[in-house]
Amino acid sequence: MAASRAAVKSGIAPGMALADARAMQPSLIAVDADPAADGRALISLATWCGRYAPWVAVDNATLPGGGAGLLLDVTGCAHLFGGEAEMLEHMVARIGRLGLTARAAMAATPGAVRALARWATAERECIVAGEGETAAALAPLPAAALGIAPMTAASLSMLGLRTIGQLYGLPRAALAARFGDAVTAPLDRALGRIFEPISPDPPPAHHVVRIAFPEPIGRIEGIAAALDRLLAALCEGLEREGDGARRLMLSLYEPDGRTRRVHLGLSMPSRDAAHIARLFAPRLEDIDAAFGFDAMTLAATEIDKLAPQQVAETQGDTSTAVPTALIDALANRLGETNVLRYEARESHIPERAAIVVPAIASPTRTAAVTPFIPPAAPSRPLRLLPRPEPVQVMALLPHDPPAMFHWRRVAHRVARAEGPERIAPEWWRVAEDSDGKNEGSEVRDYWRLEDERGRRFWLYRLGLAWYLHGVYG
Amino acid sequence: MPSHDPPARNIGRERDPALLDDLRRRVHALEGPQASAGAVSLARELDTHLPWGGLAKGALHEILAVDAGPATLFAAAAARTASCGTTLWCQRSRALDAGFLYPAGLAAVGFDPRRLILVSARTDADALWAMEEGLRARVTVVGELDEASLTATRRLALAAEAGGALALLLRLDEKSPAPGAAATRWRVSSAPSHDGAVRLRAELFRCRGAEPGTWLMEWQDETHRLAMVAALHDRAADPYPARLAG
Repeated sequence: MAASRAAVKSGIAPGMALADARAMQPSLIAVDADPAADGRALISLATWCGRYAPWVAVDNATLPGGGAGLLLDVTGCAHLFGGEAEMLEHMVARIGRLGLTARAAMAATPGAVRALARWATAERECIVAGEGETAAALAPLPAAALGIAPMTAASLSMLGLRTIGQLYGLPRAALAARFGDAVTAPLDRALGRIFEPISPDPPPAHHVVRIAFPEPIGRIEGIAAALDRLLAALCEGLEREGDGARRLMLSLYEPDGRTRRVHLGLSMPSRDAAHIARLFAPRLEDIDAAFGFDAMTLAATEIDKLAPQQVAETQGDTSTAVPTALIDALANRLGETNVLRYEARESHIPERAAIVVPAIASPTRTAAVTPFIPPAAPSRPLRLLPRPEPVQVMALLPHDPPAMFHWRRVAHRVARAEGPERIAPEWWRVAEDSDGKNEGSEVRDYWRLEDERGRRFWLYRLGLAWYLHGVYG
Repeated sequence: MPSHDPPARNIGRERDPALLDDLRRRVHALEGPQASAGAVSLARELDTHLPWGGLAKGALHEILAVDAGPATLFAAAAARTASCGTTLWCQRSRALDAGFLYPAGLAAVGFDPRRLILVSARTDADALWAMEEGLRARVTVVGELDEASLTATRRLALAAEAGGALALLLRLDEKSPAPGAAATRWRVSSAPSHDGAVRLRAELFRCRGAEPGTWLMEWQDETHRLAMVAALHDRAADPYPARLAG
C-alpha cells in the first residue's frame, strides 16, 4: 500500500488498514494496486531514460525503504549535461514534469547508490558522492540501507551497530564469523571492493550518439535534419574503430515519457551516412509525433568489422555485383522476411530441396556449393504448388499413369507420360516432423504428364491417391 | 516502320519531303531511348520482327499467361538472356493459384536460382514499389501482379527507362488486358510437345512499331533458349482494335 504526500501529511501511513485511514481522512480516495501496470510503466520510464545514458536497468531490489527504481550507468555521460549534479537535477526535474516524484543519487557503485537514493535523500533531492566520497556518504545511513536482511539488521542494532560507519572499523573475521556473508558482502559491494554488475535491458549498443532539443520538434524535416547530424557523428565513431553497422536503432523520446523506436537492418556492414539516411527516410514518415520529440539517440546495436577501404559500387556495371543497396531498401521497407534468396539444401524431397532465406543474411558457405538439382535427376517443374492438390484420375491399372485426370474441375486427357520417379521418404527425418501428416514421409511415385494441349504437370501417386504438385514450363 | 501521312491540315499540299523527314525524326525520338539501351534476344526469327531487334531493354513488356508454366518459361528465358547478374522476381505472398517459383525447375532451364532476389509482396502496391526500386537500380525485374492499371504500367515503364533494365510484367490471371503502357504485350500458352522438346505458343498482340503475330516456339535444352519453329499468323479477329502508338 502506498500513500500520497498529502495523505502522509494528514497522518496516514502506508500499511494502515483502509478503514482506519478513512476514519482519519473521510475524503480519502482509494485506488486498487496494479502491479503489472506499474511494472510496464517502470519499463517504459527506463526506456525513456535512455536519453540520459545507454545503460538503464530496472532495479527491483527489495529494500525496506521503498519500492522499485532505475539504475543508470552514466559513465562518460555526465559532461553532456554540464556536470553530475546538473544531470541529476535535470533528470529529477523532467521526471517531475511527468507527474512522478523521484529521488536521485549518483555514486561509484550500485550498492552505494541504492542506499543513498533511498535513505539519504528527501524527495526531489539529489546527492552526488564523488570518487572516494562513497564511504563518507554512506557512514550516517542505517545498516539496512545496504540491503541487509531485516533480521540481520535487527541483530546488528541489538549489538549497538546502528549505522554503516560503525561497521567500517570492525574486524572482518568477527563479522564473518557471526553473520557469514550477510553483512560483509553488501558492504564490500557498496564500497566497490567487489564488482557488482548491472544488467541493462536491452543490452546497450557499442556506438550511441544523442541529440537533445531545447523545444520539441515534430516535423519530418526537423527529424531528418537531426538524424543527419546523428548519422554523421555515429559514422565518424564507427570509422575510428574500423566498424560498420549491421543494425541500427533510432530512439525518439517524447516529453511525456514515451519512446518511439525505428529499427534498421543492413545486408552488409556500412558506415555510409548517405546510404543509411536513405534507408531511414521512408520509415520517418510513419512516425507519429503527437507532441514532438525533445531528444533522439541513434545506436548501432550490431556491428561488424569493416575494412577501411570501401569499394564504391560503380554506376554502370551492376551485372555481377550483388545490389546490396537495393536489398537493404527492399528489406527495410517490406520486411526482412519478405525479401528472400534461394538456398539449396541436401534433400531429394522436392519441397525441402531448397529453402528461402532472408536476402539480408549472409549466405552460408555450404549452401553456395550445394547444387539445386541432384545430379542425374529428371527435370523438375518450374512452379510448385504450396500444397499438392488431390486430383481424380482414370487409369487402366492402379500403378499405370492416368489416361485422364481432373484438376480444379478441368479435365485433362493425357497425351504423354514419363515416369515413374520414386521419391522415398528421408527415414532419418521422419522422427522430426511435428505434424501427424508427415508429407515427406511416404513413398511417392512421380509422373510427368502432358495433356492434349501441351500443358505439362508433375503428379505423384501416394498409395492409391494422386496429387498434382507442380507445373512445367 | 510504317510511314505516317502528314497531319490533316496539310492535305491538298504537295507532300513536303522535309516535313516528312522531320515527322519521322520526331516519331523516332519518341521511341528512341529504348532502342539505344539494347535489346534482349528471344529467338532469331522473332528478333527480326520486333523493331528493336529483340525485347527492348529500358522498357516494360507484358506477358499474359494463358498457361502459367509456358509463360513463366518465357519470362525466365527473357530475364536470363537480359542479364547475367541479379534478377528481381516479385511474387504476391497470398497463396498463388499457379504455385511458387521452384528453384530446381529454374536450374533445369539454365537459370541459376542464386541470381534471384525474391520479393514476397502482400499488396500490389508493395509489389509495384519493389519493381520500381529494382528497375531504378538497373536490375532486371519480373513482377507477377494481378492488376496493373494504366498508371502503374506507366510508372514501371518510366522506371525501366530510367534504369535501362528489362521489365517484365507476368500476369498469371489473363482475364481482361486493360490498356497499358507496355512496349510489347504477349499472350503465352502451351503447345503440344514434339519429339520430347517443349513447345509454347507466343502471341504478340500489341507492339509499338510492329505488326501483331503468333509464333510456335520450342525450348532447346542445349542452349537453354527458345527457338522459333513456325510463324502462325492466324488472323483471328482482334478483339482489341489496333490504336496508334501511345
